[in-house]
Amino acid sequence: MNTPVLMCDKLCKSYTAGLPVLNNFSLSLTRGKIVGLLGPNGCGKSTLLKLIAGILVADSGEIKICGHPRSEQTNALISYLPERPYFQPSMRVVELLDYFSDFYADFDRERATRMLTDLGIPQDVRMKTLSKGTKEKVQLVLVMSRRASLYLLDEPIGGVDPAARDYILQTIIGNYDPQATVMITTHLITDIEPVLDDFLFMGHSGQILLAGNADEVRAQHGKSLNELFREVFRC
Amino acid sequence: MLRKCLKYDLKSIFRIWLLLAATILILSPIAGLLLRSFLLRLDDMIFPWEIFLLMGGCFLLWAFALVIMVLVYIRYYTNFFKDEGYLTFTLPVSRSTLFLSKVLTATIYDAATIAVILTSIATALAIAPDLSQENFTLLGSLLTLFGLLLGEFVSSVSFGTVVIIVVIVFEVLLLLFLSSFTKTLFYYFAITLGTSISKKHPIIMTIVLIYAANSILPTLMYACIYGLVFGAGAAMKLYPAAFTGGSLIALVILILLIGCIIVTVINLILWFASLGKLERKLNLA
Repeated sequence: MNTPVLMCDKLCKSYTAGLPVLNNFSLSLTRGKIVGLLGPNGCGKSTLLKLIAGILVADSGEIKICGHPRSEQTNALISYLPERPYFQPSMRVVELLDYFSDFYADFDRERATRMLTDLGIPQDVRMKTLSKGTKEKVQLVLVMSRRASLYLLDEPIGGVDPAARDYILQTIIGNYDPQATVMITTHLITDIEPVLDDFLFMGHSGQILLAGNADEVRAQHGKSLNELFREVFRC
Repeated sequence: MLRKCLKYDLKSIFRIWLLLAATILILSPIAGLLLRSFLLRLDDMIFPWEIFLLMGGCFLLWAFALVIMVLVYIRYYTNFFKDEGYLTFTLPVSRSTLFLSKVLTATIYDAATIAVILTSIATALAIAPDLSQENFTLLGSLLTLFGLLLGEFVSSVSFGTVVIIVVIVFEVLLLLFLSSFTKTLFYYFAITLGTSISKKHPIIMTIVLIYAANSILPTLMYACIYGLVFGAGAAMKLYPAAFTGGSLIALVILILLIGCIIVTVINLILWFASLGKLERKLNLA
């Protein structure tokens, strides 16, 4: 149980030679936390999540999930929400439930159905007929209905209305296993701040500028994370 | 997991395939009637309008095969290299399983499409009459002729010869079976390579690669055939004893076997090259 749920060791990634997005990035996350990965555009937040999820291949360095080197087997432990819709547009919502049930042993279909009903999303509609925000909600419902060890949420509330944001944040808090860890990237710090246990401010090339327990840092500096973020990343 | 991947891969274009296949099969009897009408008024024909419609039918068969093939490759591209890749590559499934599922899907649809096309042609021929024989359709005549030839052949040759022919037919079928994978693996490799070479214009790069390969490969193939023909000619002059009776048959069997081995090696190269790119160089946008 002491094994970190995520361990990144000296990760390097660059899209263009000589311009590293992540340079010797190291990180270790314990279980049972909601961690905010915060930073300006282009600092490598999404790249980091993609590397952990296996969408990108690191130039060097190592990633371990629950003590196992990253592989397709560790994909069973990770529930990843990318910042874009990733479903075949012709698929119906119910077919997506079938798809997740088929491929993920930890998928809780009952929970997903309940959440879809709460959000008023019918199951017999095709994804292409849904609005961008509703697609994101469906995606989040599916991702959060898994009982994974590590949730990677890339901008989960970026494209939805403020009312839905509250529901989504409640969903994140209410649905993750206490033994699991949730890693969230967002620019909407004010919205996400109340749910965060820990946070990381990422500078360019994946440099960690400030990290720690959200409550402790707020007490220490007498400022909210949003205010601290503006101070650290002032242009 | 392969079964599950196959289920969704096959399902993804099944509705379109079914719709097109049903259309083709429904139109087949009409093609048969057109052929019948054409044949019956062959003697006093002024304007062969049926021929134009039958040519349209042939175009439909070709278009059906092409559309299905293109859809299969589009599915590979979107599923692996577009936004859907974010789901595909985060499944707890190995990349080799994902890739194998795509290869099998293409092969299954190829086989099913060919079966529909052959059924459609057979249906049309079963309706069109054979004017040279009374109460016979073109299909009936063809099947009867084939049966007669086969019966005559089997009764005229020894058991040993039949075994040799079975071996040769088996090798030819094996070669065709292996070659069917080559086409799929080649197109998948072109898409994989095209996508990794040019992130901005992957489709154009894929088309360029396919066009380049289609220009180079036939040249290489013709060079091989000419080399084989001239080589065989030279060998016949130098070693005439090796090209008589049983030796010639053994040579044919050997050449077919070498062909199967070459195609298998090409398939393996394409397989590992594509998979290597997917496993080590995959970088979705």
